[in-house]
Amino acid sequence: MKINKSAFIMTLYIIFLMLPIYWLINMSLKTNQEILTTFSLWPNDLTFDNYMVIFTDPSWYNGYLNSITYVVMNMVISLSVALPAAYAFSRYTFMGD
Amino acid sequence: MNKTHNQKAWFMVLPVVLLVAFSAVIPLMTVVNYSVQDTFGNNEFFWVGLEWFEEILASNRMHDALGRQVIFTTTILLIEIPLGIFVALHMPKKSGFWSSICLVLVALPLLIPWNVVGTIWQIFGRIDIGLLGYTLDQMGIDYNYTQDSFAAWVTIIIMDVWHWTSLVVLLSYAGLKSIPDAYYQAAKIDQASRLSVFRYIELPKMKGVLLIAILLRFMDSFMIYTEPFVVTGGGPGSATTFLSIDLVKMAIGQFDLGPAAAFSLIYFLVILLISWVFYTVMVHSDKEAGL
Repeated sequence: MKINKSAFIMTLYIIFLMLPIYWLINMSLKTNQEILTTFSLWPNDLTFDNYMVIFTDPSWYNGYLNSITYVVMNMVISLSVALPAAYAFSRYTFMGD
Repeated sequence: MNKTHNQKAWFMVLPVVLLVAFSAVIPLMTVVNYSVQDTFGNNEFFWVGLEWFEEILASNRMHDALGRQVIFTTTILLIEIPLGIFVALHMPKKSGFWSSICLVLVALPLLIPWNVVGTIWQIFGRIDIGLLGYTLDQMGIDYNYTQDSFAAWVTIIIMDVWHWTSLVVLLSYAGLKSIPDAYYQAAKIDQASRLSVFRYIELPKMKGVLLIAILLRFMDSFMIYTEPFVVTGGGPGSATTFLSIDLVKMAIGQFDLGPAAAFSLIYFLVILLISWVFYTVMVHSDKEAGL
């Protein structure tokens, strides 16, 4: 059986990278009770309640709204002040450039 | 391109200058201000000159934190750069389905917010609910990162390797892909071994990219704050208190603004100096390569 050496190394590395993410998804599908009491590789009773909570509870989704507001404002201000300056530096020479 | 001389262009640069002055220069000057003054309390300040700098440069606490930081940065660089190059050498070369999948999966840890990385690893390392902690416990290894400083160090180093090796992998992969195939064909004609191909073709051609990767990783690991702070909060005692964690403890925990300001200026200048050294080496090697 011929094993491709590159494929083997890449598979090991990607498994190493995915382990904590797999654990994260595993925990996100369990209830709080189950996380703290039992240890299981896959939730005993699959539940999407956690996802419902973060999308409907204001104290959770306000975080998303704040982040989006911040990012949009940041982008608008950065672009609007940087573009004229970039144009000036590329097309003109002036004192102090 | 022909640039016309026009003084009125200053008006286009003015918004940037004002914004940078307001948000960067003024806070920097405030820090310099705090670093040369002491206070009686009640917002009364008096000039003390370089006293805070002398006190910080002589303090044992800062030397300990600096020592830990140097050990951490050296270990991280020694692990991540060779591992990153090794993985990049084995990534699928043809642009097809597998190489896209590999690129996406490899880049995934880079996209996670840093304190989420800390939280993931904090839970991952716990003996009762984390995969890593539980496995090590079942194998009989004594692992408790909240009480044992060696376990805390190992956890933080593995967390940083997990988080950032992919950056080195992606940069090295980009460098490797830019080597024209003619070099490999010439090596095949000469019947060069794999190791010689790596030493004489790939490593020299990747030099520019590798220098950037080393510079980025060095700066990031020297300034690391959120990840160790979320996982261990400074470690059992002060075992994992790196420079930035120590600085924040001083500035916000004890509210010693004078020493903290002096410390942050020294920190800033150290990073600036080392980045300048790297930059000069990079520009010099670019000139040698005839670019």
